[in-house]
Amino acid sequence: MKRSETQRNPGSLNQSKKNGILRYLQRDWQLYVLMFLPMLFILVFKFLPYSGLSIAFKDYKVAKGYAGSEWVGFSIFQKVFGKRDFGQAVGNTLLLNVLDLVFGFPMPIILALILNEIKNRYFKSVVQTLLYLPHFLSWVIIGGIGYSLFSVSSGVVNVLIQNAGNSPIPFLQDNTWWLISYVLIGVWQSMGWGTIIYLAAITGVNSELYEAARVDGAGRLKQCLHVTIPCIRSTIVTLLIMNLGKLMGGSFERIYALANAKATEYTTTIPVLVYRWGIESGKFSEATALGLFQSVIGLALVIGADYIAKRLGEDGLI
Amino acid sequence: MKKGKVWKRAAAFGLASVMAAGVLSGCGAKKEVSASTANDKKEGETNKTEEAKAETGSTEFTDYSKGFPEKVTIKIPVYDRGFEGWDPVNNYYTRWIQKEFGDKYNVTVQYVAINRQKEIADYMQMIAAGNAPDIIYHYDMPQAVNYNSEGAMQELNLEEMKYYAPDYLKKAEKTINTYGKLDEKNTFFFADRNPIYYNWVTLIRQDWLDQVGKEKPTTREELIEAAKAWKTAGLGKLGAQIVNKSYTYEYPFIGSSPDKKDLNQYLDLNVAPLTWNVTKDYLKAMNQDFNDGILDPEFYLNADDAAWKADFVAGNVGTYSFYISANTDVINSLKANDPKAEVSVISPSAQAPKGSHPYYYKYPPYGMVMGINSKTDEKQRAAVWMFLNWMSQPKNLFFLQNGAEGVNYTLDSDGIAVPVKDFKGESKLSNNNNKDYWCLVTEMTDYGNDEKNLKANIRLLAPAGYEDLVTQSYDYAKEVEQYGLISPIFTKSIESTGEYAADLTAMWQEFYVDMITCKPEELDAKYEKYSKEYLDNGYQEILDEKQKLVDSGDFIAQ
Repeated sequence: MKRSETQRNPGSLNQSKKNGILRYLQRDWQLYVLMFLPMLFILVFKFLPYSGLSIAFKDYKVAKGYAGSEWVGFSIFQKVFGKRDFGQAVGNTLLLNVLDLVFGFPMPIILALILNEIKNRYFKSVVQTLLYLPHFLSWVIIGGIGYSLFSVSSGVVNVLIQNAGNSPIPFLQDNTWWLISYVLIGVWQSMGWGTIIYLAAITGVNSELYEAARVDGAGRLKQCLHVTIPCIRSTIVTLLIMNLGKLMGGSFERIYALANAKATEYTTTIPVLVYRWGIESGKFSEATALGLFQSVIGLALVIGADYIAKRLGEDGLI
Repeated sequence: MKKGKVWKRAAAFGLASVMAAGVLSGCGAKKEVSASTANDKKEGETNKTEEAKAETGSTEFTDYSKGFPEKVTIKIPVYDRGFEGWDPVNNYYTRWIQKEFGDKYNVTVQYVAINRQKEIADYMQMIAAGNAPDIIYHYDMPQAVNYNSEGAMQELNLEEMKYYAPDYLKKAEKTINTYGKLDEKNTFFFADRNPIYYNWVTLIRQDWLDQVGKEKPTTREELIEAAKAWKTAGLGKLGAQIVNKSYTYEYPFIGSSPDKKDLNQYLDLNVAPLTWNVTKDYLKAMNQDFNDGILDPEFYLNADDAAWKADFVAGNVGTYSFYISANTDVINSLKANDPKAEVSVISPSAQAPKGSHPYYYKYPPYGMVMGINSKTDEKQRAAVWMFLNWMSQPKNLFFLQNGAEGVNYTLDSDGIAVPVKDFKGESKLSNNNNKDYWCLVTEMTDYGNDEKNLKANIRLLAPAGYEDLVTQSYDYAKEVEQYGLISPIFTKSIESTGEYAADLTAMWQEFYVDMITCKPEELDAKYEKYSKEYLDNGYQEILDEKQKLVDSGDFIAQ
């Protein structure tokens, strides 16, 4: 948008100052119309629900509604913090997300760098399509596939292992194995899709830089390390900050689809509790309070990461 | 310069927000207005009802038997069980109801689908949004009590019911008077229930029994023996699915002379009685089975009936318990998979260990537990009562249960409807014989006596050619008839159950699977540890609250 303004009306700063805001509206109304829908979406689905947060401070009864329910201050939060599962849920949420970050975050970058080096166009697009596919599968389906592949008695992989004369591995039915499977399946599902943004960033790298590097005698690996990575560093940092904000969140579906009653050590997380309290037992106040807690910590993490990134000389997010 | 740019950007953003907000506030304001008028209206009406109540005699109710002067819309819930090719809210029968009842009384009968798998969530969302059906129902009392404590139901006036739905009330009066009061207020009304138990059957692979030369088991010990023989012969295991709701697993382990006090405290569909010694016996037995290798080692992955059924059909397990019905596909699928497969039914007593009677969960004497939505107004209430009264007329009920004579069924010499085989016409009944429509009135078809009912039920329950499964089951049910136990029904809401049930369920699942799948020598220590954790995290509170209600007499036991 910025570019189009300057293109269409170079040096119009003085003029626009004169006519004020209305002028922008008149001149670029098409752009505002385009922006209207996304803005509406954000307002309706991201901002309007904030009013519902009030039920975290109320003894919310569905039939009485938001206005009719009684204010109870922070007592809901006290109750939530005192629950048996609360501490475990916070711990598990952090653990699962940190593991996801450690193993899941670098993968798209590595993959994007590798894809960038593939010169055969057809091979590249086939590989890319195959990598994107898992992103479009719902977790319920992935969970179903996961169990038919990895369950102890009837999973295909375990049948193969048993036929090879080894004892089956409880990929999903033992706590530690479950954790490993959870992370790996997650990485598999998301890494392909994650490459898109990096590939886009790589496309933006000035080709003169590569030429210069080649002149200086850099091979493919050196070009990658000293040209590509530094050029997409700001993208990486931005995404890292955004991902840090998700440390307290996480996908409910992913756990729900992969969990079973045998391996429960790591499956109680904040989103799972929100579901159990809010949807299963209709305790909307508690679920909202927990969700609010999660968001506040997430916000703190983003702001903290942004601050550190700026101190380290990066662009930051905000 | 840079500062100017930032300002520009901010201004642009501000503009866009103002635009969006403008449109939105338009919507918002409209909604508020309509909400407040609705509130006013409601208050006005409550006043009116109160005034009306103050008067006496039937003159206080307006006669609508000629139809309502203005169109009244009532919303009636119907379970959506995901039957293939069946639209629960718009089908031959809903249209028939609209034609026969709705058009006659100037009422629009609007069906609202409730997903059977997640009905509570569905209801809660609709209650929150203020568009829940006029009847709020659930099969189990505790959840109905929960809806009420959410403020979703209104107090009933039995006089009003009597005025608009005399025939319906006649049938339901006894249960309403016994169970319908909550905190001294008439809250619930009930469908009739003349329960049968022989539709719950446990199938066993008869061909496997024959192959290992075992008789059909009649006690748990014999069942175990058969399963061990299966194991040796390389056949399948005992089937099971995860127990995480409707807790009745413990019934066959209750013993021979249960303590009344224990029964009042522990029998509860919504919370598993982990700390009851009966549960320990159950866990020990299951643990033994698991370690002997005769129980499906992944029973806990069977989250629903379909998963267990798949195991049975695939020949992995040799037992399968389910509600049988004429259109079940389990036997045909099994046969398709293994043409040599034969099934028969085993007695409920094959679940009970030595020294324990085959106790079973006995239904309370009512079917669906219903209340009227707190937002329902006087006219809608009258229409609902009239609707129920209309549906309880034998002619209408029979049509809903069986369809059209000569089309869906023919009457035999006993006056029992014989369904036309594989009827696929327009007036085809739903897969459970339209039960989800007529469950507002009664839970079972009733021809007046046991013998006739059995005859009729065999046609509804038995897949063609397998009538003997149902007659066997009927005989077994008769044998153990005296061992039914009704769980106590509390006439006040148990707050702690609502508070902790979901968390306790999560704990229970984790604990009980662990205790069944652990080594036998670890079981005792685990049981101690888990029991304590379970008690500390809510179960003790539930037990105490129940005890208090028992002490003050706020409960009905059998």
